[in-house]
This record gives sequence, C-alpha cells and structure tokens, in this order.
Amino acid sequence: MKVHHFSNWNPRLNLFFYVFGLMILTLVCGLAWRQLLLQGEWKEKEERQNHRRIIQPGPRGNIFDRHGRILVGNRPNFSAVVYLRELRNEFDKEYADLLNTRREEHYAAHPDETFRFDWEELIWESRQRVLQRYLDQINGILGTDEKISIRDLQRHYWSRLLMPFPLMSDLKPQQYAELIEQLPLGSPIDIYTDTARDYPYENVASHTLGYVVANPTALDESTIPGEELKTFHNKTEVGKNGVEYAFDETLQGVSGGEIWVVDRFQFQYDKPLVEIPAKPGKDVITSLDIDLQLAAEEVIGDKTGAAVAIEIKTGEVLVMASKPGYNLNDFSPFIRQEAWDKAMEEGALYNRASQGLYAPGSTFKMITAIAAMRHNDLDPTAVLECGSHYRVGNRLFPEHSRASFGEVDLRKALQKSSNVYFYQVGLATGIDNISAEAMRFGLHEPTGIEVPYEATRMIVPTKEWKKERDGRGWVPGDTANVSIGQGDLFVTPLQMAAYIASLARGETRTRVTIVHDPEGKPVDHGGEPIGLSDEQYAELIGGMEQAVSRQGTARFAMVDGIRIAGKTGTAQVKRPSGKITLAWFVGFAPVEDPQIAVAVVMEGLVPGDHYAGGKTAAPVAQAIFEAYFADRTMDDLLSMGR
Amino acid sequence: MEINLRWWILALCNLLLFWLQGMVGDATGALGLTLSVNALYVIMPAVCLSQGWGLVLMFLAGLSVDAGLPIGFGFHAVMFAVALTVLHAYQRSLQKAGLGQLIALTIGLNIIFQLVEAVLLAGPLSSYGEYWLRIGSDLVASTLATGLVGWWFLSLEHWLLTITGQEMAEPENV
Amino acid sequence: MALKRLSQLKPVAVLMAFLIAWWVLPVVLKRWVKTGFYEFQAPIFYLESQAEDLQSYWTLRGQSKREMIAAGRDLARENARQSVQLQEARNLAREVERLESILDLPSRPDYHYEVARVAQRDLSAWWQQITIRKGANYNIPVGAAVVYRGGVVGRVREVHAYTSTVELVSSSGFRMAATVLGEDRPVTYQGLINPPFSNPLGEVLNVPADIKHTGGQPLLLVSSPLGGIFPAGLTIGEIVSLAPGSDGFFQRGSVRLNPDLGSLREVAVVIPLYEEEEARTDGD
Repeated sequence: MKVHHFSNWNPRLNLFFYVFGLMILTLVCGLAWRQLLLQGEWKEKEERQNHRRIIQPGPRGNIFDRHGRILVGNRPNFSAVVYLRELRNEFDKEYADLLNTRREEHYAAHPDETFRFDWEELIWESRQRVLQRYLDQINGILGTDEKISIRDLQRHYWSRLLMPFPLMSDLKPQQYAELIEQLPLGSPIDIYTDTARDYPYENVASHTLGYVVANPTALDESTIPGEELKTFHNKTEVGKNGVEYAFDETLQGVSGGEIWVVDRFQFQYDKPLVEIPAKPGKDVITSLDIDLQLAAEEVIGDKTGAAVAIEIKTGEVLVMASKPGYNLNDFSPFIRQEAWDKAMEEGALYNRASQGLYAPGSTFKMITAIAAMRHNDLDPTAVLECGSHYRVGNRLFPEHSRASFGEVDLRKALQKSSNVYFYQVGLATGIDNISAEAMRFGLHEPTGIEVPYEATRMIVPTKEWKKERDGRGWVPGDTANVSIGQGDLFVTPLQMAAYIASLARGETRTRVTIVHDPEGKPVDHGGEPIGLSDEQYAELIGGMEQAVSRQGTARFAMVDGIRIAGKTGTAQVKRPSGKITLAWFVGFAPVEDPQIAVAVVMEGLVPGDHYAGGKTAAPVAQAIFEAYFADRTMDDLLSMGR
Repeated sequence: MEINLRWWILALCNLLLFWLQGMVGDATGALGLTLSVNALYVIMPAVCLSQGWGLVLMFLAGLSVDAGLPIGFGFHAVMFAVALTVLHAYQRSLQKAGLGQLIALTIGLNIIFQLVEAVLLAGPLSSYGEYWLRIGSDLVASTLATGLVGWWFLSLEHWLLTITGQEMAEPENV
Repeated sequence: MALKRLSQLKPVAVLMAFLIAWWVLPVVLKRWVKTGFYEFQAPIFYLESQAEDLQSYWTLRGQSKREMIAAGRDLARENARQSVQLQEARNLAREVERLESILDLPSRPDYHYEVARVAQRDLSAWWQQITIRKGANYNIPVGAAVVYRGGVVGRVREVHAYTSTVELVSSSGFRMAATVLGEDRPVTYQGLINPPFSNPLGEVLNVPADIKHTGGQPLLLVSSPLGGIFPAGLTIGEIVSLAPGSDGFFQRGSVRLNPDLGSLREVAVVIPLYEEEEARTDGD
C-alpha cells in the first residue's frame, strides 16, 4: 500500500464497521438496561437468587431527669470488622501454605512416617491466621495487642456468616478516627457502626437507671416484609434492671431492616433490595433530680448505705441512691467480666434503697406515738419520768447512750430520742395498735414503685406472726423492742421515705413513682387522714423539728433558713460477723409547707464501725436538703409559707 | 526483526499525544470532564507496524499511561495490546482505508475503551447516578475530541511517515 | 491446509506470549518498571509546569510600570498586614504554650508546612489526583495531609524523586475522619465523584441522628485531628443533604466540595514534626 492511498475509502472495511457498530450498540444497550430498567432486573434477580432478611434494632429511647438532663442516652459503637466472604481466597491460600509447611516440617522430623493431619483443625487455624494478620494491622495502628479466638470465629461462622466478623469492638472515637485514616485503601477491614447505651453520670443512680443486656430474640420484625425469608438479627438490647427494665417496652425502638440478595455461597450480592430505616424508641422522663442524686452519693462516698428523697405532694422520687454502686458504662456495650466480678464481690448489684431490709430503729418512734395518741393512750404534753433503764418483767431495757433524761414529754422524747419514754408509750398502747398503725402507713407491703425487684418480705411483727414463726406467744419485752423500732421489724429506706412523706401531708399513704409528670396533676395517694388532732400533730412534728435543732440528735441535718422536721435512728443488727450498727435519718422540709421527704440509712459493715444516725446519716440528708433548696429563690420559699 | 524508523516515528507521536492528553486533562479536569483519546495510540501502529513491534509499542504506551495512576499496572497496556491484535488481523484492509474510515474506526475503538474502563473501574461507584452521568458526558466529549484530534493526529503521523519516506505497510510481517 | 489454519492463530499466540510474559513478571520487577516509567515521564510535566510558570512570568513582564508599582504597593500593604498577624500568632502560640504548661496538658501535635507547586492534574471519573513538584528531595512522607487556603486537598499517595502524587479529597475511595463544625464527634468522610460542570461530591457517613441539616445554615464538614493525619478544623466541604440510615441512629449525607480543587496551583504538605525528625534521622 502506498502513501497516496490514504485519502481513499476502502469498501472492504464496511463489514468491519457493521460488526463494530453492533458491538458498541450491544454495550450501550447493556448499560441502559442495567441503569434504566433496574426494577425489571430486580424481579429477575428475585427469581434466580436467594434473599436474606437482616433485622436492625431501632435505637433505644433516652432517659432524662425531671429537669430534662439526659441520664441515659446512646452513643455510637464502632467496631473494626471484616466480611468473611471477601477473604475466601485468602483462607484457601493460607490453608494450602499451612498444609505444605506442616508437611515439610513433618518429613524433616520424621522422614519415614506418613504425614497425617486434622483438616478441620487446619482450616480453622488458617482462617484464624488470616484474621490475625488483619487484626495485627489494627494493633499496629492503635498500639494494642488483641488476639483472634478460634472459638469466637467458629461461633460466628456457624450462626452469623452473613454478618461482619468483629476484629475489635467498642472503638473509642480516637481509635475510630485513626483507623478511618490509617487503614490502607482497599483494605477489607471495614468500620461497622451500631449503638451502645451511654451513661454520662457513670455510676450515679446505677441501680435506679439499670443496665441493658444483648438479646438476639427480642426484636420486633413485624414491620419488615419477607417473614418467609431466612432472617438474621443484629444484636438488640433489653433492659435488665432499673428504669431500663421497667420501661423496656417504651424505650425499645422500632426495628428496621434490609433484604439482601445472596449468592450460592450465602454471601451478599449487590445492594439491598429493601431498606427500611429503624426508628428510635420513646424517651422516659424520670422523677429523679440528678443534682440531688449527685449530692447524696457524694456524701455517702465509699460507705455502704442508701438514700431516698420523695417529693411530698406528688410522691415522685427525687433521689434513689444505693452504695456501693457500679459504673454503668462498664456494662455497655457488654458487661465486662472484671466489672461484674467487682460488683459481685462488693455486693454492688443490690439496690439497698428498695431491696434492703433494715430495722428502722428510732425513726419508727413516730408510729408508736401516733398509735398511742390515736387510741388515747398518750397525751403528748404529759410528762413521763425517764431514767437510764426501764424494767419490763425481769428484764431491764436501757436508755440509749446510758443517759437519763428525767422528765420527758413527746417533744423532748423525739428531740432526745428517749427509748425509755417510748417503752412506756408502746407498752401502754400495746403491740396490736402499733402493728396496725405501721400497717396503716404501709410498712408491711411494697410501695409499688416501677423500679423492679422491690423487696416483698418486709416485716411488721404481730402476735399472730410471732406465734406462726416461733410457736411462742408475744411478751411485753417484744412490744418494748418494737416501740423503738427494733426487734423483728424490717423495712426498706423507700418505705420509710414514703411514710415520712405521708406523715408530712398528714395522711397515711404515699403513692411513690419514678416517673415525672410535667403537668403536676393532683395525685390520689390512696391513704386516709392520719387521725390526730391538730394539737397532737403539732406536738409530734414539733418534736421532730426540735430533733433537727442544735440540741437535737439530728443537728447535722440542719440547713440555714430551712425548717426541717426529722428523726435519727441507730439500730443494732445481728450479723454472722457480730453486731453491726445501722444509722438512720428520716425527715421532711420545710415544716410549714412540706416539699421533700428524705430517708437515709447507712450500714456498718463490721462490728467496729461506729455509725450513729445523727453523725453518719444526717449529713447525707443535709446534702440533699441543701441541693434541693439551693436553686429555690427567696420568693419560692416565701410562697411556700403562704 | 530490526527497529525501523516507522516504529520510532509512531513512538514519538504517541509520546506527543501522551503529553498533550496530560495537558488537556489538566485543563478540562476542573470542569468535571475527561477527554480520552486512547484509541489514537493504537490505530496507526495497528495499520503500519508488524504485530510484534506493535505490541511492544502498545506496552510502552499502556505502561506510560498506567505508571502514574492508582490502577493495576498494565491495565491499559493489556487493553491496547488486545485491541492492536484484533485490528492487526485487518491490517491489509486498514492499509487501504481512507482517513475518514480510520477516524471512524478510532472513534468506535475509543468508545469501546471508555465503556470497558467504565465497567471495570467502576467498583462501588456503579450504583451512583452521577457516575453514569459523568461517563456519558466523558463519552460524548471524548468522541468529539477523537474526531477532531484524530483528524489532526492521524494526518500528522501520515505526513511524518511520508516525509521520512516510509510506506504505511511493512515490507514483511513478523 | 492444517498448517495454514495454524498460521492464522499466530497473532493470537504472539499476543498470548506477550500477556503471559507480563503476567509472570515478578512483582518486584513490575514495581521497578512502574517507577522507571513514572520517573521517565515526570520531567515532562515538571518542565511543562515550569514552562507555565515561565509563561506567567513573561506575562507579568509585559505589564506596565504603573501596574507594577500599584501591585508592589498592594504587596507592601499585604506584607505589613501579614507581619502584624504573624506577630499576633506568635504571641498566641506563646500564650497557648504557657497555658499548656500551667495545666500540664500534653503538647499538641505540631506541623511543618511544605509549600509545593502543582505540576499536573488528573481528574477522571475514577480517580482525582494531582502531581506536585516536591518529592523525596524535600522529605515528603507518604500519607501526609495536603491542604490549601480553602481547606483540605487530600493526602500524599506516592512519593517520587522530585514529585509526589496527591490523591484529592474528591477521589473515589479517599477516606478521612471529620467532624461537623461545632461538634466533636468524629464522622467518616469519603470522596465520591466529580460530576460534569459541577462541584465535586463526597459523602459523609456515621453522622449522629441529632445533627440536623436545616435549610438556612449550611453544615460545614471540617477535618478532625483524632485521625492523627490532618490538623483540626480545615474545611472539607459543605453537607448538602442528610438522610437516616437503616440503623435509625446514624445518617449519611452528600458533601459539596470546593470547585477550586480542580484548578489548584499551589498547595502545602502538612508534615508532622516528629515524622520530619525521623526522616532526618533515617537520612543520617
């Protein structure tokens, strides 16, 4: 061919152009088919491929305190994962390499023996090695030293093959960011996101708020189509304790889901056919006031005890503290073994506020007084002679602190917490009246608060109860003991707070709740009027107010400018290790228009702990009162008095 | 097989095209357009060179394109080599072809190159509408550019071969 | 006859021979060939870029004295302004240092900025990259952040003798940790595509559900220092839409990037000071 032919048209090439044009047309049509007629293609895929349904739980709702501060929320939970389907070739290659290495090692050591191997073991080992290599990449970036467990890998392979395999879970934000930027592009390691419960106040109100645990079967799938399809569930969380448990249904989100097409190896193929977003659960506004809760827990510190504060008018629980507690973030997104072991060892899982049964000690004395006054067995202004002991039958019952208070009326008896006075009052009115009065205040039954696992085995002893339990009759010494809140009497701090709230309102019952009603609708507490004359009631409350004075036993509960009525108690309890002391304080404020009732118990752990209601429990109450009244202006206080 | 002047001329032309393509890409990149005229690397070598020397030139051109790109090294080299082999089978007919026919062929081959790249390099982008919009606009712009640049470039190659006294046909095939 | 048929297969055999030879070539050799090819062409666009600079130089030479005097005066003003700002920045840095020592805070990462001219851009549908005129000769490390006055440019992907290839933030597959301006929770930014005649696009993943995109105020996506590569607060782009994901907790959205990315002339490579130290030590 010569150069001058360049401007010719060669008809022999026409066929070539036709074929060429046809090829281009086919390619363009193919692309158009793929892009424009996806619906049709999906249908076709549906016919020839298998579908898998993935259920994704909706995030749980948040939990707030009464002022809208978040107590429990959700935080992103990032994990570094790999999809095992993407590593199949690497698994196969590693298996072959490992087999060769083992064979060579065997023949080098034992040239005459036939090489035998457990192929299943070798398969798992090769898979583990591949995954460990990827985990080592992560270890290199983050400076960690994590290892792949064959057991976890097997469990995942058998039950969750379609889901990503977690190489490292619960990455901190910095670790997440480092991996995002420093993992090589095209790495099969992916960052998988879900949510975990977040507790910004960590170990504060841990028992009341509660924690969640993973539960793969609790997901509601009804909103996701394809019930007939094979379904995989992402991990969901259910409340295990506290508010998380009590309001689990409310907090649970609405599940979302995806339907995937999978290939014959059960691995995902293409984008999801159906994608339904999950919806978050509803929020719960608790009655807790986190400032008060923090104040109470700070003063309790490392000691063991519980504190409850109740809003008197509504019965809403403002504080429900139990110590020792646990850091709720150690229980999320999974319960860390060391945290669990520590909590078990310290008895921190036990909610002392609603589950702890304690002898109420002298805080019970108001019940004895009320019973006696209602049955005309006590004139509150009458003076009784109170020595250092009181003889009941052949037994001498001592005054506390080996004191002798002389002439004592009800006010002084409450101010000084005279045991001898209440022995006489109790014996005068009798155990039947005292027990009935205690039951009228509901001390024999749970309060019915929504927080789960409230104690049910509280005891208000009666003659029948003793006969049934011991087979023996009631003796006056038993009455003397019960009169001062000792003996077989056992109540919870929550009950005591409810009883004080009722007393402050001049009623017998308080309907306690952990849910805040922002509208503050009037509450029917379900009790009855206390049944005392105004004078009798005034003497009783006056005695309690004197107890929280400079001369009273509860002087450490005093708050400047606030009239507080209270009562301390110090009870002795027999434990296997010896006699331990329980220190109590109950009270309410302000006296002129009661707003808040408080009950505190501090538990001596060993016989040597010198706990007393006035010194150990009253400061906790003082902190609660101070926090409660701190943000109330003088106007508020004045309006309360009106 | 000895290196002939024809090979050197086409290699230098390809180098020139590579440089120009880089410059044009530099300018059009900001507009969200890529003008690809890769088929021009292949056409004249397929018409004028023996298959062996043609493949050497295709590998050189392809590897030059691949060297600075984040793709498998050799991707374009293989693509060009396959295209050259297919075209080489029609070498006798192509040698008799006019400029218009060669430009039409270049445009067709360029579209095929772009579609192959669009499918093989898409990855997760294939699910985005913007990707196919970009591919479509690149395709249209490149087709126009191939027509215009092809007319000039093929004429240049033809002229250089003419003034250096080279015929378009090899004396013998390797 | 059979021989003739066999000879028709010769072209395919030759092609196969080439392909097999390429396929069996050791990876090390391929890498070496790649570097060779790159370093061979690098001077082309290096010179081209230099020529461009020369061109703009001669364009400026053509300007009148009056224009030059005006430009010189503007420059002097700008210099004075910058000097004041520099002094302020130095004072602030000293104050920060003082506060850090009082509060016993760990010192913040410090960076050295290596300014480099852009030699070439390659902005296709599949990759978006630029070549800068500084490489191993200036101790540019692979993976270093690259920024410009408008924010994030990308990261150094390859370092050659006298040039480096920078993958742009708009490139598909580019990934970095980011935060929404005013937030401290890290999110993932990914490059996506540069549609024709439009701003380049990226996408943002794992955006907490409580971050809302309101019509009025645009959400700005900025770099996060948590990843250890980028300094804090450099603009990546503007979040134009957010949609909830199937988990109901995170959102994903699209990010509109600055169109200037396609016409950059000068960028700065951000080199952490410790890396520079290491490079020097290695050099010793």
